[in-house]
Amino acid sequence: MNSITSTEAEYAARAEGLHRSYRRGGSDIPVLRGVTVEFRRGTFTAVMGPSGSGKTTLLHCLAGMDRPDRGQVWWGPAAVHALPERRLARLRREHVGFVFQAFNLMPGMTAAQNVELPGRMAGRRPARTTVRDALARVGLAGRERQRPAQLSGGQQQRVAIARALVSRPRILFADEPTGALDRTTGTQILHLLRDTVDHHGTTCVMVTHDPAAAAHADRVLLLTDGRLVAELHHPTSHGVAEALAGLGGEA
Amino acid sequence: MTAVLAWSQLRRRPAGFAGLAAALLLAVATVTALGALLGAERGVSAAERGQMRGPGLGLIVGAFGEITVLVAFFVALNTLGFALRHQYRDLALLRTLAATPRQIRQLLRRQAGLTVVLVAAPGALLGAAAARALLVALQHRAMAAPHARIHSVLPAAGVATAATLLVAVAAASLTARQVTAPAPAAALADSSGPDRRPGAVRLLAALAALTGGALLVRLAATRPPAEVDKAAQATLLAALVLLVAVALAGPLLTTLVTAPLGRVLRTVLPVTGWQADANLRGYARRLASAVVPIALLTGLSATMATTTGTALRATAGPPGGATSATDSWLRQAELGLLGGFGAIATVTTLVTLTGERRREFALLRLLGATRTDVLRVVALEAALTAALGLLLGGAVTAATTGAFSLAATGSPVPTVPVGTCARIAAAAVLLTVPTALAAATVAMRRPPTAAAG
Repeated sequence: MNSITSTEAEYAARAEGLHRSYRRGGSDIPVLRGVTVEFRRGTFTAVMGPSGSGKTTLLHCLAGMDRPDRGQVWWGPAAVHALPERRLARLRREHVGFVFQAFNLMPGMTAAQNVELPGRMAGRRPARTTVRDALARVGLAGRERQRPAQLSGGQQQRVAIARALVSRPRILFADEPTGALDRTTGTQILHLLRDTVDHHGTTCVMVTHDPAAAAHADRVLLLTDGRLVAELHHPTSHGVAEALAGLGGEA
Repeated sequence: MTAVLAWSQLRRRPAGFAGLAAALLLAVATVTALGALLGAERGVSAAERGQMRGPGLGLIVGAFGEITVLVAFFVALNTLGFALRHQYRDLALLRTLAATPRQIRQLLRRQAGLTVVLVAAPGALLGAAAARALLVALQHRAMAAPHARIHSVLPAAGVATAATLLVAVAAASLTARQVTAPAPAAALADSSGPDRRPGAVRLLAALAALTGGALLVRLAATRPPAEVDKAAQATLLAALVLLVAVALAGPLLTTLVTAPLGRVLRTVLPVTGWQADANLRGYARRLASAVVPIALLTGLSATMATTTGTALRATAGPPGGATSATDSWLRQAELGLLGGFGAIATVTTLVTLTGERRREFALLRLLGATRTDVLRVVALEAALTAALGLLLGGAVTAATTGAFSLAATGSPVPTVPVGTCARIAAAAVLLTVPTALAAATVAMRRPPTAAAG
């Protein structure tokens, strides 16, 4: 086995030398300044950093939702940075799942229809039992026909997770998935994410500002001013908070 | 304080007020033109007036006036509602900053008033030009005295502006309830306005309008052949009242009609059709507000065209006769004006409703839909919306013109001017689909990561 295939097999996603800047008020503001990072299959990674550190931009580039100015993104063997828009959209549909902080669901569709949506867009109709099972797995059995407005914030997040699970994504990206939730509901969501990693082999990348949330991950990446500055393995809430406080001091 | 705020909102969201401004402009212009025409035969001798063909200027203005003014105000109310929806979030935020409902109402009244002031001068100019053109056309057809002149437009313009101002301000007070009724926090949480089920009051009002419409239909159907004019008036009024009933019962009606249509759609187009069906069903109120102006536009115009067609057959005069030709010319002019109002209402509604879906479109794109995929769903939804509007407008037309035909010819089957009706239907579709597509394209201009999340 040569080295490339072993890398493909080992990593669900990786990025090399990512640079991204945005034009604001006539000048370019660099947001990512050379980020290189790898995500092993079946692991749970939290990305943390102060506001403006570039964590959300990193997530968007990794998820193929934003294009880096320079650098490469790979999902297994696929060179994401080089794909034309249409192919990328298709690949994203099949390999990537998302959970955002809010507005995850189509407001006009029922919970079941929202779960079905990516499959439908890919041209196949997920079996009714698959949809029902996915909703049951996130604790929403019997709520198939309810619309987002009839569900609480935590329930809406869980529908988004069920949607991501049905398409069996290679990687699940979550941007502040607990940011709009109370602590108890947030913990439930984190347990769900942990469970999909442990029992279904999903790879999960989550942006968060909450050390307690980050403690559910296998590893924490700390980002400051568009650069990766530290990596914590088997993090604890306390350890993460301390590391973050250290960053604040440097900044 | 509220005046400054009203002005800054107008400047910040000009798109939100464009429809309202267009509707109010047309309202000022119409009332100015009709007023100026009314005064045009002042100083003309009675003998000269007596030689004229047709019903006389006063009656013409009256016939034009009753329907157009009603429609103008309906459209003003409709566009004002959307101007409010554009800034729903801002207003909800103001309320959490302790603005009282009274201040919100005042703010909206000032905005409506300011818009009227802005469009008053161009509206009056447009109205004056229209009055002159109309008078020349009428004189050309010997329906107005050759010595009639448009004297001074100013009094008519003043009355038109005052009347429009009054209606706009009253309408603003009414629509303000949408944002002042819920608690401040609840209003803020619901960023584009609540998708409520129609309340009991609304359904009762719909029922009352339906009953009134049915009575008018009966009135039209039972007129003796000698009273064809009265039957025609009752028919038009019946159409208007029935369309009000449709507007009130909109969410309920569209839900009923979408279900079977959607089933067909899902089977034929499992991807696009399924999405369009799910979206339309989940947003009965949104769909209804898009369907109502289309039903209004097509229902009224088709009723008018069909009534004219049936009346022409009933009089059995030579089809090319002078009276019938001028009569149908007048109807055409009225149709054109109605079409203008209907187009404003339809475009405003669609632009607002589609623009509000920016985050939905962004989400779809993040889930792996391309721009083209999203536009395909939007086009299908727009086509379905137009079809629903045509269906409801057509149902109203069938009921009212059937009654008129019974009175005029003894047969319940009216003479349908197929060409005109086909043009009306085509106009509805051509207005709906491209407008929705353009609005959706604008809504997807920013990258999806910026719009969602």
